[in-house]
Amino acid sequence: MIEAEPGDDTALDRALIERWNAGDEQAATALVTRHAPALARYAVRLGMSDEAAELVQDTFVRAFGALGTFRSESSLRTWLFTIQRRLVIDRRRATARRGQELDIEEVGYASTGYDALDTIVADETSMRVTKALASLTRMQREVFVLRVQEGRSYKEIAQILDSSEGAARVHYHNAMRAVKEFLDD
Amino acid sequence: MTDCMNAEMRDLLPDLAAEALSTAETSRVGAHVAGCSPCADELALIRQVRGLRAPAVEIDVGAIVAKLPRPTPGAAPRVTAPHDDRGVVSLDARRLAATHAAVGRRSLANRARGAWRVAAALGVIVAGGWSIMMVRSGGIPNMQMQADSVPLTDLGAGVSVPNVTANEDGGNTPIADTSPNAQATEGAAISFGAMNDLTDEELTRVLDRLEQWDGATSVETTTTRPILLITPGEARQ
Repeated sequence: MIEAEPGDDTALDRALIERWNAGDEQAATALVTRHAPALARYAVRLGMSDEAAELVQDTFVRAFGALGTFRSESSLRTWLFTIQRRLVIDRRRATARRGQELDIEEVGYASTGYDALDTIVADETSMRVTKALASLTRMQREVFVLRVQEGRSYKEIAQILDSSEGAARVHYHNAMRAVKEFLDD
Repeated sequence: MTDCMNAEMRDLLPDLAAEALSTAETSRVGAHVAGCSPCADELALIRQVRGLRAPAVEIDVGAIVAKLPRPTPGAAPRVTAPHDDRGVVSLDARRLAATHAAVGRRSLANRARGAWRVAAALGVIVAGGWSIMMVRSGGIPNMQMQADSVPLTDLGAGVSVPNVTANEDGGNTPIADTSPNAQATEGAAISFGAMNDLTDEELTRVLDRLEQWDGATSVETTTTRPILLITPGEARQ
């Protein structure tokens, strides 16, 4: 299995982090510019369209406050995805505590994620694919989005989801089968 | 839509769509897809999903950068060093700075301790040298030290033991006072003076007293009484 992560991205991110630590403000601008679009896209995929911009900002603030804990064995983007996913979970739990009786595990996906069809789909075929993705379970959709749309490897997906590579592979193939069945109906 | 039985090829399809494979892998997987209808359909689906556009999210990069926590000024650069087989350990600049600060504090403490040691050594050398010089030049005139006399009445012999204070030489050698008053009352005072000024009689007294202080007198001053006297006749009984 070949890792989907581009090799030179990690080196570039590491160099930018070093420059940032040395006081180069432009390095931070470069890092945010490089990863903000993917984070925003991921936030939308996680069903956080309305808060995507705020989530992206919070993710970068938290990440830069904890750069010392970043391990170079993973890519910076994978690490950012992990942080953002935890922020999403925290927000959902906070929403649940406010008494809105929301299912922590499922909230945001079925109701807001791919149901924002008017802003996502461009044609009928895309609408059907979008509905197929919306029919997936939370874990299947997360794995499918990370694998197909973000190009993350199973190893990275396991890291982001705090799971195992084997589990990520199983979720991916189950998701692919479910999407095919949805489209065949 | 059916599934290909080649799990390896299916696993690589997302990577092929993302153009993340090497040239050789791209050729290998591409060749398989060209002859595999299920994989071709699945690759088309993957590309369609990748083509789905999420709603545009306006990101203010400048605002994000302005809110980022700044690295500690003057901190040592962040270091990434191999740790063990499990991976890589990163050392934060703040941790390194804290380590440097601790080392700096230890260095200051060590330097201060060293300065005190040098000062103490110089003091000992100066005092010792001055004392030797004074002794060789004929003694220390008019320097007297009163000593407390503690009579050992239990011994019943009028022996007194002075509390000795360290003299200029750093030793604890007391020297008998030769004044008439001191001669009248045994061990009342001690004076420092040149040994050459003492008469033979005075020197003898000084030596005797030194021996008494050591607990081994040259002359037995007390009468020893046996605790139990057994005569040969009593022993026979």
